[in-house]
Amino acid sequence: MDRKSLEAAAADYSYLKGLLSIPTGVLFIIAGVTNMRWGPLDHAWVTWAAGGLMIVAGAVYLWVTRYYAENYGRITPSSRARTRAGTGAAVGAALVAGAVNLDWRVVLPLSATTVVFALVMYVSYAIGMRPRPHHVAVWGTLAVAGVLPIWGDVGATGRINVGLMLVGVATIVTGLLDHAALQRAFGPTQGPDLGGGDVGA
Amino acid sequence: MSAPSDGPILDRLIHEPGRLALMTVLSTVESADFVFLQRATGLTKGNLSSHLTKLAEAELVTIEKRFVHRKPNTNVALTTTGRERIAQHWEQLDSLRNFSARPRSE
Repeated sequence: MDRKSLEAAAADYSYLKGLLSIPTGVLFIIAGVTNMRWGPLDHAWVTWAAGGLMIVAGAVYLWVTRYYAENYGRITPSSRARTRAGTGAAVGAALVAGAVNLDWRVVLPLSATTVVFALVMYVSYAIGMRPRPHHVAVWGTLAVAGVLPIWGDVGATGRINVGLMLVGVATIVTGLLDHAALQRAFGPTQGPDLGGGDVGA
Repeated sequence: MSAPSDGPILDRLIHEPGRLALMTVLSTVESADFVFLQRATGLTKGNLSSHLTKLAEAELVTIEKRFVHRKPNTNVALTTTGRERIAQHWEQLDSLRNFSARPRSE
């Protein structure tokens, strides 16, 4: 294994825990669907069901976190990496919130929510690790979807909530591909002399 | 701990491929556990354990044994000396590579 791969191992691991993206993506989809209040979904029980699904998604997130820790290990990133990740997350969240606000207040021929989320995600991967081809494909496709000439007539609610649903799908797809990339880089979950065990030193 | 005396240029304790891989991975994090180090380096459990013991004896890493969710977990971190030694070792390898890349007439 070469020096660059070894030095990138911890950052790659942090970014490629893709199964964590599944509950996150589901939350985006739930938020979009619930906010839309389409015909059969325009009932009070939908809000309760969405709340229940969010709790389930949170529990799944914790379970997946433990799955990765037990099968692929635990790391404590350097303080520099933690600061960079925290700052990036805060800036990214502010940009996406700004885009949602823009979609709400201004009639645009695009979904700013979708486009900005795609750009924020791609840049966050590019800063933290060497982006894989699927990052370009998924986030590029989402950004293109955000500028298609279909957003002018759907209204603010449509631009934001359909955008959130597309974001959710893209997040799930990226997560599945990230997990596959993780397995290629670090090996399958279980294998000869691999996974789950800690014989110590 | 002083620098090793068994080589004027390369630190043989660190230069062994398994230990070099381990210390390189550890140099990018505050700490990592046994399972992650095994995944990142591709070493077997036995080899990893043996290398970690040697590095700990040389005071290049600290090993903390703990329980996480009632399961044993071994957490490893570079010491300040270890961090300096691996950085110095890569500098030496880079200078050796640069030296070997020079034209013979120089």
